[in-house]
Amino acid sequence: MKIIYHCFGGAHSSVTAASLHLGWLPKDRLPTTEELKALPYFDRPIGQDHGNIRFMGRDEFDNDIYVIGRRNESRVFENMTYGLVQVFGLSEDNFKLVNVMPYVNWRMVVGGYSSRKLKITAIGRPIIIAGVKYAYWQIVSLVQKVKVCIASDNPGLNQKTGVEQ
Amino acid sequence: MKIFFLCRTGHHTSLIAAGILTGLITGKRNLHETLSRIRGYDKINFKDIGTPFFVGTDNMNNEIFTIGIAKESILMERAIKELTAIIGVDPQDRRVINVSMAVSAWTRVGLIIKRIRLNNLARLFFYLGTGKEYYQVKKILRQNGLQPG
Repeated sequence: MKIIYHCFGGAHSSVTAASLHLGWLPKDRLPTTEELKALPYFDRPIGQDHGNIRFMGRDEFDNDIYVIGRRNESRVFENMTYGLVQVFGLSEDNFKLVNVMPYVNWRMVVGGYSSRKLKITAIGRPIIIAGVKYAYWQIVSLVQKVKVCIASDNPGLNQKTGVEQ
Repeated sequence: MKIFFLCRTGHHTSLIAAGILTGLITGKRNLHETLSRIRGYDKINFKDIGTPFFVGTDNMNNEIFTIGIAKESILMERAIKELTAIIGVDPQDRRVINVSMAVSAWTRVGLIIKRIRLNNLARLFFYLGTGKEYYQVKKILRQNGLQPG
């Protein structure tokens, strides 16, 4: 299965969620600033990278984990992905899209804009990291739900929104 | 091969491109009448934008689809190419042609009007827009080496 975590820029919340999924971040404590900074693609992509689907790794169930920044076009991206999967004759069950945007808080928005758009990384990055730590347990919870649903092949998680039905 | 035409809704400018390629649209004469007979023209549900829409096949037996990509045309074009690669589609088996640059100001205004559900007024704007878009779309098709059916 291919699991794509998506958010606005593909630089913070989706990278955090994908890293949690791959076991690169702890689930029993808050990550340190250094742990977050060391994540691949964390606070790295810029505007021109939006729309690029980046492979993050393979989890213990052999699922491929990807992240993408799709700006505000969450619904368009989801419709397009599931539509293309059907057009090319694959099963929708082979793809899971997880929207991480509901867990993005104002710190991540302000920090992300300062760091990525305005390129004031020295100010933006600490604000983002504070935001990620603030939303961390919610992202942990989301990833746990995704993993439980995949492991049990449970359709209880709405594939299109990442929110439990 | 599958050919995907992209525009804001997948049911306006990209459908003109698909109509020209499949031979449903043969000229600018009576373009409005022809368009109103094309399945799916202006039949949009904004919630469904992004879902591929099958138009037909061209004279080379390629399957022609349209996709709505809203305002983020470059981003979505890139995402489609990457998604098809992840799905495992050979790049030779698909073409993605973005006709968003041909979308006229009339059509853009029409879309705003359509969002407030003034459908008949919106259609007037779309008709005004198609006249301007027709030659632009034909130019894009020629640039991509596609022969109208």
